[in-house]
Amino acid sequence: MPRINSATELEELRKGLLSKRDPDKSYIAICSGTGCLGLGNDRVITAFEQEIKRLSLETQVDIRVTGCHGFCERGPNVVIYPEEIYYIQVTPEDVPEIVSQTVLGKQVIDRLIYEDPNTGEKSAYQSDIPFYKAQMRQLISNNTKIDSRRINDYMGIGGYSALSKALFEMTPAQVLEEVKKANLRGRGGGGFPAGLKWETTRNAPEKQKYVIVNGHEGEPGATMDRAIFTGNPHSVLEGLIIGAYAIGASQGFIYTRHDSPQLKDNIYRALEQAREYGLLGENILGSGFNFNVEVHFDVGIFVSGESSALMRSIEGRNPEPRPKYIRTSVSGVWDKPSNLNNVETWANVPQIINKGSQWYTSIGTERSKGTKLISLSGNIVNSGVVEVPFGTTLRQIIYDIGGGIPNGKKLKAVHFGGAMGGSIPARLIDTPLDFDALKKVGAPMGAGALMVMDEDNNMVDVTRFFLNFLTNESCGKCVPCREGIRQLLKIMTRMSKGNGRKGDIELLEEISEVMGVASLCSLGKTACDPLKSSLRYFRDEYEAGISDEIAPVNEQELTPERV
Amino acid sequence: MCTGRVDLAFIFRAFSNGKDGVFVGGCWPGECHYITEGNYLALSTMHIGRKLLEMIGLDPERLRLEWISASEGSRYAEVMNDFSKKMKASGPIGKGEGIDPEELNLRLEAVQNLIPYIKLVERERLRVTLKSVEEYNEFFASDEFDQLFQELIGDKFQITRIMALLRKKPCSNKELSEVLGISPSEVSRHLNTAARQGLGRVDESRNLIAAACDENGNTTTSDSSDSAVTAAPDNDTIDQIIHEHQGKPGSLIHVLMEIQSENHWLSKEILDRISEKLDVPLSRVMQIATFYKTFSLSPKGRHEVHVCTGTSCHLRGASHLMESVQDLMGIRPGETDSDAKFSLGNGNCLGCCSLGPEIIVDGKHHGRVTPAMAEEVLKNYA
Repeated sequence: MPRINSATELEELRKGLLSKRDPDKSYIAICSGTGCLGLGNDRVITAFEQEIKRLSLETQVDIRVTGCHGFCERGPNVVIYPEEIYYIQVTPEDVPEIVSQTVLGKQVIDRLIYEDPNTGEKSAYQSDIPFYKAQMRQLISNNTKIDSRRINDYMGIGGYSALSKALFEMTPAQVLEEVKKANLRGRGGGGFPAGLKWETTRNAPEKQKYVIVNGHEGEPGATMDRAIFTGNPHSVLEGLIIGAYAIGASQGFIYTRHDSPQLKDNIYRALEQAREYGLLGENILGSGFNFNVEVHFDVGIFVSGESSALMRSIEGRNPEPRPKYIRTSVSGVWDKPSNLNNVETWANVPQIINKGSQWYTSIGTERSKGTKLISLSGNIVNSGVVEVPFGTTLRQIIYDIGGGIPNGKKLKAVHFGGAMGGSIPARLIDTPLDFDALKKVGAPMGAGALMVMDEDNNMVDVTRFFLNFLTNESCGKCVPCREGIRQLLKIMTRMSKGNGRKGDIELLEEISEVMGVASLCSLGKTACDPLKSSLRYFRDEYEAGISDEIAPVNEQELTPERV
Repeated sequence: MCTGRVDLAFIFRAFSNGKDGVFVGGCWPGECHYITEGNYLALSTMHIGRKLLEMIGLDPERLRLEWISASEGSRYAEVMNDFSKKMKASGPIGKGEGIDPEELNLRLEAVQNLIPYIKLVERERLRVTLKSVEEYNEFFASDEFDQLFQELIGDKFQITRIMALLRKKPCSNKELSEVLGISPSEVSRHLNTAARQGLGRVDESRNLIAAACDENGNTTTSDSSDSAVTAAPDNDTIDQIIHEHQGKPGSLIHVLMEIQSENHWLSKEILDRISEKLDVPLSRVMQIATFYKTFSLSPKGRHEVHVCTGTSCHLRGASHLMESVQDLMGIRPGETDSDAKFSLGNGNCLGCCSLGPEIIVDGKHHGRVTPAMAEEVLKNYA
């Protein structure tokens, strides 16, 4: 691949790519997201490749192994373009028929299309399926359009034009200003304005600055970052380079999961391709801006997603958080100013630069702008990854997109934000998706994992489950978190067996209050959020776990067990 | 000498020397000349001693404690006559119970090795604060004591025996289970506990086990994939991985991660080598290797099985699936079964929530598995 040395060359390359491509040419987009691969889509991919080869259709039909389409529930998914015919639950045996009937014959195969389980209405095209119809897919829509392994596919849909615009038409200060004006808020959980964070790092006194992609995504049930990062790694990389330019960083780090081989491959490949094109390294696109990226992996521990812990891990040490009276944006990796943002936050940057902050702020609510990826899971008909504008109500997400609760059960509660989030009862599902509104009702959005619980799920059990997860994940550095969670778990365990004692609920409240104040990092500070919110809304279930016959808690029993 | 001074060690030394019975006699409770507690201490020692005898298959009656004050000469004679009569009826130690003399020595040796530990445990967990003989007897006959004894001493005893056997010669799990008379899954459970308690020494012995499995030609299962468990780490591969990352700051985690994925576990030799080559203190290497959950300090089975325990899978009933898998394999999360076929882990969420609950074997997902289907899934792996 030739190195690109200017903005003009980039545009010429893009034009060249597009002119070689017939816009009406068929292509088959086969989902290779984690869900579909788990369902055996690798065999479907091989079957398509063999079938196309057998019929010598290589010049007429293009196969794109894409990132997650989002509709994981009905996977493996295959989309036939340009008609956008959407097939679900495809098996390798269906492949010859799809190629002869649909790709060549332009006929829709009835048994493979989506049928609404309630109305029986069939939808052949992606845009007609209720799951997709109710979404606003800004970021993830590209997943079906590109082969995640090919940079040229990304170029073909306008990739790296935002980078070129930023480098040649804007000063770093202007880029920063645009992001600030767009009011892009961090998607990792805090919802802190990204622009302000960038500015802090930019203004920090040290010369060497770092930018970091947090793709750790340890939150159970959260799969959005993986969907974007695996499916469209260049969009994240482009955002990162733009951010580095605005901040003045010459070195970036990608911190992500080690246990997804495909994610790992796609990131390494994307970096390699970007380097060859001159989009990374010295003198990017001939602009004089230098920037390099290194990849680091979490090695299976939740707390390393916390910013200061993550930075310790990049240094090759134990991921133990540190107190943040000096923020990581001023003193982070190797004590240098380090700006860390979530995968989704970075992926938002190119479109803000391309389309402008005015367009961006037209989407969403007053204080939360743009769209948000949500990963729907738990007891819901359509689990998967969805993208909606801020302001969409939870009811719309659960019923219009998610298809409601399976097996005729009733919705009981909605849990947001994973092990450190909160649950709200069904009566509050008209709350809009908004950082502040959700925080107010006690279900902070976190990274966007939305868990649906039906009437059979017991809140005490669910909370106990989260605490059990967190006892294993607490790094153990500070006492309130390490010991506090253990004691909460101990109490919750006996309550879930119906052996709770009088005064247990008050004790739970007392411990969680101390943990909230005294813990070092947000893991400990928010570890009792699920407890607090479910106590707020489902106190009766806790009271049911208290046995009248058992004497009140004896303080001495709370001393750690001796072995 | 006060009966309270009769140590467990004395008692078992007597048995080791081939004595058929041990009699301890002394002042009545409440008549102690010293701290008024000596004879209660003796009572507790006697109860534990008898329990230990029972554990190793000997008649607990071989140890007897009687209250006889200095003025009770005739009672002393009566008791002694009775004791020797009973001992004669029981027969010589070991023979009476039908235990092979060599085996008996092994068991007694294992108990003797345990005594310092038992004394510690006794002080921490089994010390009775009661003040009457009846209460003592009641406590030592209770289920609570049985459970504590099993947890604290019973398991430890089996581990000590396993270690003693392994130090003599390499054994397969099967042999161990036959010699010890416990089930293979119990053996593997003890080995895992041992691995958690004292790494270096036990790793060594686990190697012996793995190696022996191989030699014995575990014919039904032995194939090339065995190498994950038995093969000695290939130094060249390891050196190459280290070399690739050398000189880069923060390379330690990368190196450990790649070796883990190559070798499936990190032996002491590997950790030493990394420490030496990267010039990082071993304590730092150990700190990282023990902190991150992905790193394993004991060998893994040929197949790594994970049951996703993420929230979504939990809501869909993963805990029942986990129970069923544990029953099928006879091991708990974090353990490896006796013939090194499966290692079980409870994987955190891997992002296939729509497939939940799921079992992941060697990276392959099996989605929407009900507890009843678990056997079907695992059957496909040899």
